[in-house]
Amino acid sequence: METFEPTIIAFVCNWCTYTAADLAGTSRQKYPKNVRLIKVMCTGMVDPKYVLKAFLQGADAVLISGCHPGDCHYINGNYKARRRTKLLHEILSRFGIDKKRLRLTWIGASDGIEFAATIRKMVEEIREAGPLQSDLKMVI
Amino acid sequence: MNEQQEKLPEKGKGAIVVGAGIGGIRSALDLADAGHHVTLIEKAPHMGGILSKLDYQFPTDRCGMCRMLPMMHRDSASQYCLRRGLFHDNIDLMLSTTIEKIEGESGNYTVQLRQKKQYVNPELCTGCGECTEVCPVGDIPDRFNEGSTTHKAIYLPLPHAIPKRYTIDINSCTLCGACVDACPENAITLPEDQKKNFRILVVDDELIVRDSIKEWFDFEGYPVDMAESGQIALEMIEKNEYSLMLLDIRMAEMEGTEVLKRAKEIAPELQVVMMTAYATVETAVETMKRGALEYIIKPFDPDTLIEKVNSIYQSGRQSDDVVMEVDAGALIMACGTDYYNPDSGKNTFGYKVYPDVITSLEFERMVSGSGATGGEIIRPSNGEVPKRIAWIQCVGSRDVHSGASYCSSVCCMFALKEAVLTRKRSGGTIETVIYYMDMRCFGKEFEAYRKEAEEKYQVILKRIRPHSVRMDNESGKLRIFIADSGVSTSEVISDSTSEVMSDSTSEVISDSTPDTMSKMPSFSDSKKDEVFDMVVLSVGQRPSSEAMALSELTGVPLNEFGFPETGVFPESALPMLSDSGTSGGTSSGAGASNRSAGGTSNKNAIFVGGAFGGLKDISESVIHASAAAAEAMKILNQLRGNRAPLQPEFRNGYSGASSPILSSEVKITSKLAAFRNPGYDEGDSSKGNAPGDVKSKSSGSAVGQKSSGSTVTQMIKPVSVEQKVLIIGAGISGMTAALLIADSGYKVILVEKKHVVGGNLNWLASNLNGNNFPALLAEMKEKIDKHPLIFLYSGWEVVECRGEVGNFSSTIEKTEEKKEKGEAATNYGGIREVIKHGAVIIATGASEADTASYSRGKSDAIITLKQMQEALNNTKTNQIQQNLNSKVQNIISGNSADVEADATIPVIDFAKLETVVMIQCVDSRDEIKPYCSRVCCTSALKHALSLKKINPDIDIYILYRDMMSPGFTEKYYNQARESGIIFIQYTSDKKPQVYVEKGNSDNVDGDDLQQEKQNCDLIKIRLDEPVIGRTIEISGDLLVLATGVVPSEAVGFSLSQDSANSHLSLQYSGLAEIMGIKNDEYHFFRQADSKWRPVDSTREGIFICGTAIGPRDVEESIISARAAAMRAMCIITHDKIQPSSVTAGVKTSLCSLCLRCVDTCPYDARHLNEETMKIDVNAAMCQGCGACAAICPNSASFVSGFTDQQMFETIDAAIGY
Repeated sequence: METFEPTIIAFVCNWCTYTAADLAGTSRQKYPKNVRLIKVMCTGMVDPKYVLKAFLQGADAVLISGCHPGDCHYINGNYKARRRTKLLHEILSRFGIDKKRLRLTWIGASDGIEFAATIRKMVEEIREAGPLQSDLKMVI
Repeated sequence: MNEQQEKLPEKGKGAIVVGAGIGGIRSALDLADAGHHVTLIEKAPHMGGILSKLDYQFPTDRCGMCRMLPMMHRDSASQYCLRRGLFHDNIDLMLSTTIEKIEGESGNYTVQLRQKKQYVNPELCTGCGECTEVCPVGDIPDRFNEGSTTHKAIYLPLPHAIPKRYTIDINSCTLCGACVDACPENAITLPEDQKKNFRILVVDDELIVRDSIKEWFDFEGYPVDMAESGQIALEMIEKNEYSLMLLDIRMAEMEGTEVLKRAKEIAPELQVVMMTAYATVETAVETMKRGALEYIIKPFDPDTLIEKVNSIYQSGRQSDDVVMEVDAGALIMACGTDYYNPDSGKNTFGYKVYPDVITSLEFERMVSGSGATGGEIIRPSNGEVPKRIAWIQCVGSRDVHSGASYCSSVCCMFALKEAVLTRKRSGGTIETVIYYMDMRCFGKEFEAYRKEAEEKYQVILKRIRPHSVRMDNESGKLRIFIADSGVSTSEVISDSTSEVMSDSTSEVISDSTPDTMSKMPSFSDSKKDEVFDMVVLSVGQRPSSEAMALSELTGVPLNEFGFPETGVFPESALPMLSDSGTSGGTSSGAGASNRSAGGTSNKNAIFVGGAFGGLKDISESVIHASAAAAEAMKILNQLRGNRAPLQPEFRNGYSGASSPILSSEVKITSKLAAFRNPGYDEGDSSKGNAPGDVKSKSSGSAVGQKSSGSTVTQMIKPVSVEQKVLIIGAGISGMTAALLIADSGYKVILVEKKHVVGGNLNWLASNLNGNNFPALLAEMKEKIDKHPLIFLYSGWEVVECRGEVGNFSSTIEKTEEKKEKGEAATNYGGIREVIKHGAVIIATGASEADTASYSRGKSDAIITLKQMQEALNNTKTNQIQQNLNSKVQNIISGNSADVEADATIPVIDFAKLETVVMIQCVDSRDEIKPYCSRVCCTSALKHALSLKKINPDIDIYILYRDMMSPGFTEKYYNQARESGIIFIQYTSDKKPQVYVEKGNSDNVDGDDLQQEKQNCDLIKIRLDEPVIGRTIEISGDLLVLATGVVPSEAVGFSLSQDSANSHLSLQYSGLAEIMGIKNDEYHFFRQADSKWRPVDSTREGIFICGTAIGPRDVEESIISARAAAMRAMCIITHDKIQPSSVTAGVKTSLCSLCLRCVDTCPYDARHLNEETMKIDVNAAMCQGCGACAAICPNSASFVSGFTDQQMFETIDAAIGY
């Protein structure tokens, strides 16, 4: 049987994680191709509806990644993302979407290695969890 | 493109900033932001300096460098992590570039720059890395990782830099050409093997010599010709072109000297090395005079000769470099500092001997995610996780033997941070011990950080100076050898002034011995040795390697340690040799007459910025950089006259996206042009990302939608700017800022609450260096009075401040004459005025705290440091009164009385004092004032040294917790100890006990009332002496308390002695509330970011400087004032603030006025317009973070380039990919 290749949408902040992704590339870090990065200025601008939209469109998991607490270029955007993610976790679990399908991480600009590791780990987990059930999408 | 070209002639003379580290970046950004053109040059092939290596900075233990990017006119600059690089419309960045020559004078320099040849074309290189795969030369230590990793001869100097510019280490490169063939973009051009063109002529009458030399150099790849006599040689020189002649001196036909002379006539460029078997000094000197490069003594071995010729060849190869001339109006040197190499000297810590002994910088690379270990803390010797790590402080600092008797100022916090990081990373499993002499956490938030490190993270601090480290051969662990506890072991208490208490009430340290003399350092006490897995050496700072050369080029003098003089004070305030107050104060003033960066002189426009002046942390470096920029700005503005500043072009929301980007590429070739904007496709082919990565695609489509961009621009208009600055507080900081801004050509409204300007300078006569503050104050006052652009309102205060950056409107009110300090002032229904201004600088200062501790108030013989200063001033004025006319005294004392009406100035006859005791950290670094007041230790040293000068027989005891004499002030601490002042350390849990013994006037002549008043009380101080391990008692005639600094905002904190708990009943004047900014937990003003935006307040357009930020000395206050002036000028130089392309807007038809967006905006850029009942967005303040868009329930709020529609399409595209 073919292994399942999940589709992961990652909203990464312009200042930290995007730079980390860049650094991962330059340092020749390898990570699976399942993740598609969407750059946003700040994780604080990731509207919950973007996350829902991603799940609806067929994403098997969503990653939101930004600056470490206290590091946000926009003072406190990452805290807003943290609160929003917590709420989303609650909502999503009611529709049977497991918590691990939406992850929030802090990956600083020089953490290229950590970025690659995070992606690898997440793809591994989602691969194990299997595709997001389409009927669940209908519920949303 | 046309626009760009039209702008070029308007540029005017710009500035050159040397060094693209954090300081250089700050200086360049400030000047560029203020509309001046900047050429930013950097010796290294990448920017970022030391900060590119440090990933974590306290207090967040993270990074926040990007906050240095401009907040106004954001489109002019890059909008991405500063570690990757920097782009700005007004900055030309030149890497691998050094200064060759500086000609001309202030405002009109012609600077010759030399840029190293770029063998990889940065415009063609995509960073694919194919070249490194094939490069055969490896094992070159990577400077970025402090040598813990290696790279090839072609490599990426900084892994995260944009553009990913591969560089060839040409000295290691074998020119094999493998990379040229491998490069898919044909970006690499290797230099020709110029050895083929480097023809050597060997002239010697001995065949064997000629032949062997020819053989050696043939092997090396040089073409060699031979001549057996001088005559033949000269003929050959006429016929062919030679680069080098190896010439024998003693030859049969024609002497070598003669050949040299005639050869130089034929070919003056020819380089000649003389060979002689009969070397004498005379022949050598003679040939050198006639143009020989050098000489070599026969017999020589091949290696020596080849090495010599190779170096001549290499130095000649510089001609590959690009040399260019740049006109500049001003020059800022911000080359940072170097670090001590513990390998040099005695190396008792075994650095490079034991692999597990590393420097703090190497440790920093170890914890970095981009370091050799990927951020894992492991022992370099065996790769295991260490269980215990020790930090040894003051390695190459505070150490006369290593040539640095100064304190490097940053290492204590550096080590604390590294220890905390280790504890955090390891989850507390790695034990961390810091061995220190004094834990110098003298910054505002430093003490709190130390406390957290100790209490929350259990970092162990030991006040011990280890003398050596040795490895246990069996266990492979490192043993730290410790002499004894207590650093100041050299002082032995003299019996006449102290007595060892046998009283049962006093605690006696258990392991003490009764004999004081036996407690001198004992090396046999091996019980205190400790074993660690890893030792980190906190290496001290050293002058930048460029300091010497730049000093020669620019004439900026170096101080005694080789750091460039920053020259903060004008000439009038320089220490007078006769009046320096301290005997060693002359050294720092040396060379003052040709000081370049003197605030008053315009003769020289070369300034020292950043950490180049030495011993500064990030925050100080950033402040110094802005300050240097401000000085340069003044010169440039005067040159520019009425010409408008370089206006940032409005990019119109990326509409017509191709043209501006293309044009800039043309304009700034080989720079960072292509990577300027967040929305621009950054070329993901280079990143080696997996094919699934749609990063570039998505960002392009997300931002690149033209239609929505242009609709936004219709809604958001440029904000006009009121080109005036309001400065609150006319102390030294406020006056400095006012003069600088006014000299740069802008109007300043200077508001001072009191009726006298000058603030603390009215009583502060000098600093530790002996600078003359009364002269400084007089000069400043005169200039302020005369300046046509400064409008001084003394006796006024600000009662209201409305508006936003660029457009403030403030109300000022006249305060009641002769009003007592501390009374409520706001309700005086007096005269009001409304002022419009574009920016605000708050310089309200700070004052000395008072205390109820240590029996303060119970005796007149217990005074504060300020009273001590006033008493010292008094003695000086008394002397003046005796010698000169009486007017001088009246004026001076009259002033200070006016300023501090309630301060009682004690009159002390210092000649009659016998014992003076000073207690430091009174109510400081504890619950009452949890911060270090920074200036008290140096003030105490200043007073103590002055006292010793007045009366050398006086006994002075300074009771301290940690002696905060950072930087170059360390030498005064040494001086004080040398002069016999006794320093006794106490700890916060065992504070000294003070008893007042009234009415003992035996030792006083009763005829002088003042003296009697002074001397009738005897102050007894009892404390534990850590060195002898006993409780001792000191009887003093005078007790001086270092009560610390409180912000002027704390108006309830007066010097009145009647309220016993004055520190508990602080009231605040509420200026923060009026200005709409925030106070920090200590009631100083909160910085927007303590490291990256140290003079910015929490509200855009309002800046803070001087002691209003936190305790600092006069010099630091002046510097911070200049920095604040610079930041304010960045705003007011432009008559309009153009909104940036990524800015928020509101679709008013969808808006329900729930005001959530107003609340969530971190920049206060939104407010409800009550006339139109719409939400207004201030485009200048909006930073485009998108918080408002995410919170808006109706999707009415949006960020241009990131609208819902665009985001949805991007998500669709990403999933469908």
